[in-house]
Amino acid sequence: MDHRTSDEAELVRRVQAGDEAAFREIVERYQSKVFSIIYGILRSHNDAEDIAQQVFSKVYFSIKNFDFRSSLLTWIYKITVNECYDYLRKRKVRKLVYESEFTEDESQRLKAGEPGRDQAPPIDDVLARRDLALKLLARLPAEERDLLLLKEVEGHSIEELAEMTGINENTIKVKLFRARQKLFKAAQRLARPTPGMAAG
Amino acid sequence: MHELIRERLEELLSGAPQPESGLEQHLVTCTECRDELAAFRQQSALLKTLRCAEALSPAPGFYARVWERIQLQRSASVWNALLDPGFAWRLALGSLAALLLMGAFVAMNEKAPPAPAVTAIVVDEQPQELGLDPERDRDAVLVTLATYRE
Repeated sequence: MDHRTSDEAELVRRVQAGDEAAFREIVERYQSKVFSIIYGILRSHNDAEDIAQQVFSKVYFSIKNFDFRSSLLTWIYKITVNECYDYLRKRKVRKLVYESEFTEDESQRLKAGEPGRDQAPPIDDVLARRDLALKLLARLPAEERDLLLLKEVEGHSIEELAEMTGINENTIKVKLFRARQKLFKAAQRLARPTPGMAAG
Repeated sequence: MHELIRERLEELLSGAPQPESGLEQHLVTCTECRDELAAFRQQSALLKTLRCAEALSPAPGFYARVWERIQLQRSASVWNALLDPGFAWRLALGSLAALLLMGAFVAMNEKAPPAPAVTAIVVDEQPQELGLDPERDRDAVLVTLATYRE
């Protein structure tokens, strides 16, 4: 797909030419998506607002460099994930997910220490797994991390990913396979006990 | 992992392999591929914990807050540019170069000091006889004195 000819491309060109109304249209079109991506990673409404503002500010200042090789959404997605990881690096909170906000149901389950309805795993287990996923993804190069997130978290198919990124399907598959292997090795390293500690 | 499984890995992880592909048969006999596939399935499930089930929307006035932030960053960026050590160094070098150019320009275009005014003195080349007219005699002496060169 040629990202230069879409309706979205026209919108981008207007922003590049300094049209503020076009920028507003971009913000309004993608704000919910950006909020959901951030909340999916950080699980905090307060941080989502601040990071989303920063994402759109970056979009505004960098859009002149947007080269139409990928879709606008893919580009915004990358900026959003980068901002989330920058935030995590700055905060250096290894157990950030434990400080995050819970839904009413999650809070009740956490207080009661009981597994969720419908055989859902206990909420602290879910949080620990989320924490682990974030730690492992942090060890991947940005491109591979974004592809995995787009595939597994956003649920896009290989065909959609090829269309969104402008990379052919076979290359996407190869990149995903490498990313999965790296993630697997990172998980093994993380699970392996430190030699000194194991001896003690 | 064998090529056959690697090529169809994404299909297998999505749970939608072609029935006639022979993948299942291979997985029954190949322990290595089966174990790796199981690990990748676990990994896939782990990543899905980052999914956001609920559709979120920002509080009203989000665009205004974004725009305000952009304006703040825009004005801050001007000051940051001035305070940036690299920029300050380049500014200093640029100023020095401009100063040197201006100095050279001024030096090259500076006018020579005005030459002393030359008073045209008309000297009568004809030798004058002295003693005929005392006033002319005095003028002649003065002219001679004034134009005398060694």
